[in-house]
Amino acid sequence: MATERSTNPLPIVLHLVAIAVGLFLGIKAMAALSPDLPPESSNPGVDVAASNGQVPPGAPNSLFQPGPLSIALDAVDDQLAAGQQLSLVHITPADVTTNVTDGAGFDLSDVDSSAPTRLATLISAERSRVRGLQDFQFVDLRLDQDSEPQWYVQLALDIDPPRTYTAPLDALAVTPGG
Amino acid sequence: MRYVSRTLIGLGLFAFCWAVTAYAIFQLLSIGTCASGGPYVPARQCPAGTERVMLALVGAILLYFVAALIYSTRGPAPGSKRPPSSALTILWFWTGLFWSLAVGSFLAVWGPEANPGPGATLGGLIVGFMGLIFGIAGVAWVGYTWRSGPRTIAGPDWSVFGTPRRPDRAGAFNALATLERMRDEGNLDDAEFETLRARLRGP
Repeated sequence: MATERSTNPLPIVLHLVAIAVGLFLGIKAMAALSPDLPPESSNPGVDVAASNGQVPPGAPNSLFQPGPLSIALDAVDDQLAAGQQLSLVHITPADVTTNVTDGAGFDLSDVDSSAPTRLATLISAERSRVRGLQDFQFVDLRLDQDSEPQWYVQLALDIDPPRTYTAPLDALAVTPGG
Repeated sequence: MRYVSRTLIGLGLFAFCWAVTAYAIFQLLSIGTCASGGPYVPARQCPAGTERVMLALVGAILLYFVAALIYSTRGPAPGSKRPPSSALTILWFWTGLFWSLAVGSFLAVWGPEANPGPGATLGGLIVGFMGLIFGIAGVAWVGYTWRSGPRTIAGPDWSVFGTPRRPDRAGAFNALATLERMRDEGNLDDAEFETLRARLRGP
């Protein structure tokens, strides 16, 4: 404080008091204003409100359907940090959950919202017992042993084996098992 | 009284803004990415009141200017005839703003209660180090000012529009003496002498 330097301690005292009071009031104000922080981080995901997990797989609002799944994926994207990679996207009729990874993974943009419908068409073409999405239990996009994204379908338990299918990322062909 | 009141209010407001800035950045980095609204329930919902934190941060940045205005008009300290240092205003404003961002960011990433949200670690470090570097500029300005001596912030430089010429009195006196010598030597008549002398004097 070159221009206020003198034997008078008043400027220094005033400055110190002002800083102390200002900091105190600022912290108090923000403590009263701020929300409670979440206790720990959870992975991004969504669920259908008020569904209690009871959405029929083939229902129009099922997250297997392209429209609802596209909206759900947008909501998941909002919860992801820029460039954040995934190791798993787990889709059920009532919710979408994810696992994020710090290592190699895939982008959320790799998840095609019409893939479950396409997979249902392919599987039902091979097996008349499978009617379509209504016989699906869940669909995953996950990393295979080569760290490449791969679709994984689990059919309902009342379907005769095979109840699992895999497909490449483009979901243009299915392979039983996996 | 003016010095006391404006120092207390101005610098107190600065310190208030520093605390709000640091606290808000800490909160926002701890929340991380989140979503609200839409037809589905996000797993990472934005905590209720997140928007208040963002508004508080914006409000604090605006209050910095108010604090600067009040503090910079505090006048000389009691018992001092020197004008107040404008470098201090810059220090409290510039360095205070950027270092409070840095403090909040580093606490959110490395502090004892650090729990950065998704994507917040890298973002916090970037903001923190950038704030640290930018804030040093204010300290450098104060250091430069203290070395150079007290000064106030210079106003506009009007000299670019030209400055009125001050009369060169010594040059004019020598020229007049020369004219008188030339007249005495007969090299100038009286009329020529008077004409040239009038030119020297100007309009």
